[in-house]
Amino acid sequence: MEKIKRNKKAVLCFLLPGFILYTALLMVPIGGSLIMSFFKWNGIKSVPMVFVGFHNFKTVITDGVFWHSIKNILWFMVLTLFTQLPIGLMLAVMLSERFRGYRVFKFAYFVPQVLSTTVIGLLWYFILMPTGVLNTVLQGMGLDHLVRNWLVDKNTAMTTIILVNTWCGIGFHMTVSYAAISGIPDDVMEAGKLEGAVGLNKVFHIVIPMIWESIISSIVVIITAVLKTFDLVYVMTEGGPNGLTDVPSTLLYKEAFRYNDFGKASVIGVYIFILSILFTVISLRITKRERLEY
Amino acid sequence: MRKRMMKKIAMLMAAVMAISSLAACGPGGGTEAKSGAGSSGSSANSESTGKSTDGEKTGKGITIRLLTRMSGADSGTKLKEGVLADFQAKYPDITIQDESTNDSNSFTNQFKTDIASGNVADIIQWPGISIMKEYADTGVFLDLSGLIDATPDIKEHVDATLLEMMDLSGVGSPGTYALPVTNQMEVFYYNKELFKDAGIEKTPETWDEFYEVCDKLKDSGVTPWVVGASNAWRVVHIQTGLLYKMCGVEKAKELGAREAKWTDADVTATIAFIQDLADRGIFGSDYLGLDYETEKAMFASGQTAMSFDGSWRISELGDMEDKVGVFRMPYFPDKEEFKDNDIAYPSQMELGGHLKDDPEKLEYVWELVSTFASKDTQQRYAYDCGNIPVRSDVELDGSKMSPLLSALLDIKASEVKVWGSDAWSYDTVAVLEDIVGEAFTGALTGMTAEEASSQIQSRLDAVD
Repeated sequence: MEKIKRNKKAVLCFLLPGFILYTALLMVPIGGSLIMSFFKWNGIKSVPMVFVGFHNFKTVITDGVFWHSIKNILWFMVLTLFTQLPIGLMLAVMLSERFRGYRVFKFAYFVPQVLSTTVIGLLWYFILMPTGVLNTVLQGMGLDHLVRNWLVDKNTAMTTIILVNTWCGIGFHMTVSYAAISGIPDDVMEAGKLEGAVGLNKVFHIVIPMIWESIISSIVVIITAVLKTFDLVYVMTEGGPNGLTDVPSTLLYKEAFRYNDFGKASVIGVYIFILSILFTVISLRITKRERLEY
Repeated sequence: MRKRMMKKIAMLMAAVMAISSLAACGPGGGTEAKSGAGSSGSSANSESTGKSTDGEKTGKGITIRLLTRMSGADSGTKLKEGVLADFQAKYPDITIQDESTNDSNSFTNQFKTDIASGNVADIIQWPGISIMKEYADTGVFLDLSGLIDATPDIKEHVDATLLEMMDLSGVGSPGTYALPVTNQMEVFYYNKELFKDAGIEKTPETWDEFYEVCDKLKDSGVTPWVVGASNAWRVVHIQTGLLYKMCGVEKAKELGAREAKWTDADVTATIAFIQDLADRGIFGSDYLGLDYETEKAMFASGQTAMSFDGSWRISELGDMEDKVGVFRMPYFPDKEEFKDNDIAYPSQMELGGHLKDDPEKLEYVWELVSTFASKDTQQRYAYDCGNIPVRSDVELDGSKMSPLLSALLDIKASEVKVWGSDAWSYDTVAVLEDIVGEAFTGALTGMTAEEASSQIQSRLDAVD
């Protein structure tokens, strides 16, 4: 093994397949999208693409619909970060106590992660529709004033989708945090206990600092996952009504497959790419702290 | 020695990975495996002469791809499958590759992916008329004029009005780019029992009478007319009907030709009228969150008394056709001149433009498509699916078809004078249906009618 490591050519040969795949399946499409964003094309192969320079970038950036989708995605990101991550962490902390039957709860919390997003979207669509389970239950409990068109009302539509997304993703972040908590040495926990770190004190002064790396990973995962959110929004509302719940990816889809404007769609893709990098860097900066060694 | 061996293995792996990834990215790589034919270069599929040794045509080696909306368990799909089975029995050497899907989004995605990759299906069921212009001008669809002229059974018997609708000369693209295969009327279906229980003795003819009917239905505890507005096309169809009753079919054509604007006062009034219907509580309180399937289920279960829908609905009302009646969209007494303007939605099939380079295959594809418009098939469409035949020579036995279809045929023969298709289908902007759909939804969720019509016009201007 050491010999192979010293042989640079052999190392390059092992790296090459991955590099080729990465280039062909990721870098080339990104490059293609970037190039297409400078052209106007209606999606018909026999129709030539017309170079329009930065026109598509200008059109998208000055479009109120695009900014509305950005507002939605920022709200999506913030709410997801402040719900999915803390709830996942809280469940992981509770499960790490390994009380009797904790495996059943672990399984139950993780189940949504196994279901396809389309299934989840449809499931919640039927629960949330005006004649659905939620409104029926609210009416049954005498809470008629809370009954509403959850996916149509401008005050609830976006937030409802975000909370469904939170429900889907909690299991993942719970598992990541649970694995990280399981890696904390017992003597650290014991020492903390002797020092009086129990309950929330233990969580804030031992658990969170000790699993900080995993929390950062979860934050990055949430940011990137939210920015490319498409399926859940599309299944539940298709970005409607009248663009109320549009996010950049649903807008991209509509520009390409409804409005036949592949140039504008590519520009939105480029903006999503830039936003992903930007938010990832910002989040890494904000969460940067010295790594704890134990 | 080991070092050299490791190098060789590494090189081999890299080569295999690179070739496999490049092969996957190659044109038609995936499709070829799936279809065994596929691409628009379909002449390559006719590798054989398509003739047996005794000279009889067999179509050997030919694959015909269909992309239609006929998919699922409905009677129209069964009929299509019967037509395909008969064709297959006649030409066992031809492969039929049916990629039809009844989901409009899946259909659109598939079609647009096909045209972007140059892999257009041989038979397509693209909706709309003038919006075909873009695909006619770019060679995506084939001009069928010559084929229709050479097929007397089609030319002489298919409704001339419908064939003229498919002629795009009016929008600057001479030629007939589709063959009509079904014809649908859009009317109100009503639950006779609920009407009777509410004390309604006569179906409404004017909108004022309609409001009276709705008031009686509301008093009896029934939601008059639930609309599955979360599917925007449900509202679009209502607006089309209103446009024809308020401004006439010609107005839709003027909008398509840019001689009129969506911001015109009379067009804006149609949007305001829908808002008024909603404000009066005629649609109920939850309609914005309901979809078409729920709307149909509510009508079938007696939760709502009326549904405005196409004649395609007849086949789904088989179990309750004795309890259901039909009436036309009411008219406005002050717009008496448009009283007899109604909606008819022809559904048509187009052929892929690539077929012009493969005359042998085109012959088989045309034979298959023509079968959908044949006398026998049209009769089955009427009996099995409740569709109005597109031909003039189809004899129908009243005892074999739905009483609802009989009623529609009576209305069509005696009352309707001017037919109009979807309002958006007269426009060459292929996305108009989506544009108007979004604006109408907006009008029902807080926008004013003026804002909605401005949104439509500004987006149309941007596309133009």
